[in-house]
Amino acid sequence: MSRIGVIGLSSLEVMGIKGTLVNMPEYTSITTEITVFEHYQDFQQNADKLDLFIVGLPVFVSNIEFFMPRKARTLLINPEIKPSCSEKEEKNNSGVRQIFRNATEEEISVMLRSLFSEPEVKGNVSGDLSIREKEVLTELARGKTNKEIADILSISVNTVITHRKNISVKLGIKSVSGLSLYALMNGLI
Amino acid sequence: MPVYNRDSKLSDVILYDPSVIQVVNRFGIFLGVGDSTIRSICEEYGIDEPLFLSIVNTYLNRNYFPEGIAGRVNLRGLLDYLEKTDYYYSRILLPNVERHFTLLISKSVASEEPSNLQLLQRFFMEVKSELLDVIDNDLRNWFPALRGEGDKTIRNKGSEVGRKPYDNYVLEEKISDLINFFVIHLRGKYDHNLCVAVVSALVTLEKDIQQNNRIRDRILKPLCQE
Repeated sequence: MSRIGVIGLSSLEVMGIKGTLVNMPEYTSITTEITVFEHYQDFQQNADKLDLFIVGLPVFVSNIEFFMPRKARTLLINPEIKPSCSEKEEKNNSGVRQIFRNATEEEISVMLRSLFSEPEVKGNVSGDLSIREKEVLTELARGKTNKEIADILSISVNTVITHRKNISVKLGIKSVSGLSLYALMNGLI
Repeated sequence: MPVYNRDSKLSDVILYDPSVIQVVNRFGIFLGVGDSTIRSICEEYGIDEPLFLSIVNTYLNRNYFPEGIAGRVNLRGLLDYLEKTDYYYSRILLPNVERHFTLLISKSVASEEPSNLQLLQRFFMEVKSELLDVIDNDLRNWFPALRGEGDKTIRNKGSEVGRKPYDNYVLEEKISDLINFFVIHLRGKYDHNLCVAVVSALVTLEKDIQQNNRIRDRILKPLCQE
């Protein structure tokens, strides 16, 4: 799961971001937690638990010393209209990704994909696992046996075993303790 | 991969894979071996030569299966060797990994970005505790029994006294997972040099445990099942 913190945006802007994410199927299953903060103080206190920051321009400018070291994980919402020669404007003068008030949904999703592909963010996305594999991993991390997982997910024990093998190959982790730790690190439990 | 015999020079063995230094150390042999053959060194130090060759070849070569262990290899000598290996883990290798881990965490906590190092350290502590349990079981139960000093019925008790001394593969798997966590899944800011130090210490531990498990499986197990 990827946790997104939003600060300094209007309700409409937040709805726009959420709507765009819903239409990005490859991320729908993982970006299940978007937290909107009213006050910067609350946002800062929770920043350690967040993977991505989506921030309005005034808040960004007032707290530039916080966002600059984290610019790879920050998306700035610029209230201005996008200039016509737009290619160079994907990042602002400080090198932070930005989208303008009049950005299309396609432009927003391109920007979000680019943000998700950052190495600092990618590690937490665990996009390699299928939804079913994540479900199996979650139950395994909760201490369930293969039989119990099969009953919970309404699949056969052999299918659970196959999913477990695939998870181990994809993650390079074999032991139950290691898989539980991975689930914990990635917000699956 | 070469198979060494009594006429092989010990220096050739060590130069082929220097990690074997730890193995010969456990027999009381230290660096500065000159051009002595394995036969002459074993005579000089009073070491059981078939046991020495079985251990060194099994340690170095994953495809080597010593033949005719029973009646040819000295069980007491093997247990002495394994006991020293256990002490090497508990007194040298585990504290070494732990020391590097603690230093890495202390240098990384102050950084701005969150990292998952504390969770990895917790996983390492689980591995450490499990390895220490195995060692404790070896030293308190299995080895005295196999030497005929303790409970002689232990060989038949199986799981009642914990894992058998040649069945530590889960531990091997966990150490491998821990290394893979560093290599594949590490995120956040951390001290790169200290991170490499932790991974190197873990790789050394993993390699020694893998090779030691091979020795237990191919030499100790046949002797236990006699």
